[in-house]
Amino acid sequence: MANEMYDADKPIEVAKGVFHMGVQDKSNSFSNIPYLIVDGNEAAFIDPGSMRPEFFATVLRKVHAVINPRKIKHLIVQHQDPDLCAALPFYEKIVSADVQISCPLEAKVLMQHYGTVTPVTPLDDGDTITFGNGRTFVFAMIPYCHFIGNMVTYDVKTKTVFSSDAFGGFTGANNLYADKDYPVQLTAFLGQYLGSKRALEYALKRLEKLNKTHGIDLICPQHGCVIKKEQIPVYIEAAHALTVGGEVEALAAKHGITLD
Amino acid sequence: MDAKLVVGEILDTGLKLSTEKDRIKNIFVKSGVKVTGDMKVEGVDGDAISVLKKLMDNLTEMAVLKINAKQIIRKAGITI
Repeated sequence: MANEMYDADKPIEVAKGVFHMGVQDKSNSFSNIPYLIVDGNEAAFIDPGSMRPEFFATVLRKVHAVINPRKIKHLIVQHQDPDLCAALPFYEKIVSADVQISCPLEAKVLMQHYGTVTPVTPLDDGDTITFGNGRTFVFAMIPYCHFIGNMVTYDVKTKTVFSSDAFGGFTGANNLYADKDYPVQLTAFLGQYLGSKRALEYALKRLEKLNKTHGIDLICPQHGCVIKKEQIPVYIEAAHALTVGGEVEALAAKHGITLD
Repeated sequence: MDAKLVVGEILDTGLKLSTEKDRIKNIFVKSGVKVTGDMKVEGVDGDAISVLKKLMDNLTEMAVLKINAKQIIRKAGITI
């Protein structure tokens, strides 16, 4: 069956009230995917994205296609990289006046340098945000994967994990869902960007535990393709098999440095 | 894994990362790799390690492919 494709105009609802706002950058094979979650009269925007003009313009157009931005009451940043949140200073001007910006504690230290004026709320493992009508997000820290202040967000209502860089991949295609090429795309990205096998294993086991206790129906990464429920065990297994941190070994060999 | 096979794997996987086939082919050809019409490695011009080094230099313009290639080269145990 042909894969659904996303474009530069229309957001795609991948789960109830969960909108994929992806922007493809073909020349760099590196998509950027903010997610807008709408429930009733309220919305949350997860990893709102880049300030690069063509990225920003696309995401903003998609936001307007779904909702009045003033209904966005939560800007959630899963780590501080500019592809996830450089646009925050703009968004804070057009969203709800009482918006809450949230991110992991260690990311907060760096986030201030984007020039936002709204105080940033630090999040810890197990913290939650609940919408007015009861929809709840649970935050799970996955430290050092790839940054100390990194987390995933679990939407209890749709059993969706917004996984940030975890389960991301390099691709120049506009495929919405992971297909036969995604294992290569995932390995090319995570194999190089993750430094610690131990951190990766923790993250995977945390997600496996979450899947066992509450269920995961969808994984929505910041880059690459969305992973459907039936594919999740395949990609968790693929991630367990990853070799990470290899650049350290290569440079150690080059410089004759012995590591324990 | 010998260097020619490594070049082939870099091409095969690169085509799964980028949709820009012509751009990829040009990079490989100017690095001294003979590429068939169906985007397979037919051979290399001269020493495969030298070609691999040149390919890595030329892949700089497609950073994602170079990031992927670094991993393939490491796993093959090749130092360039």
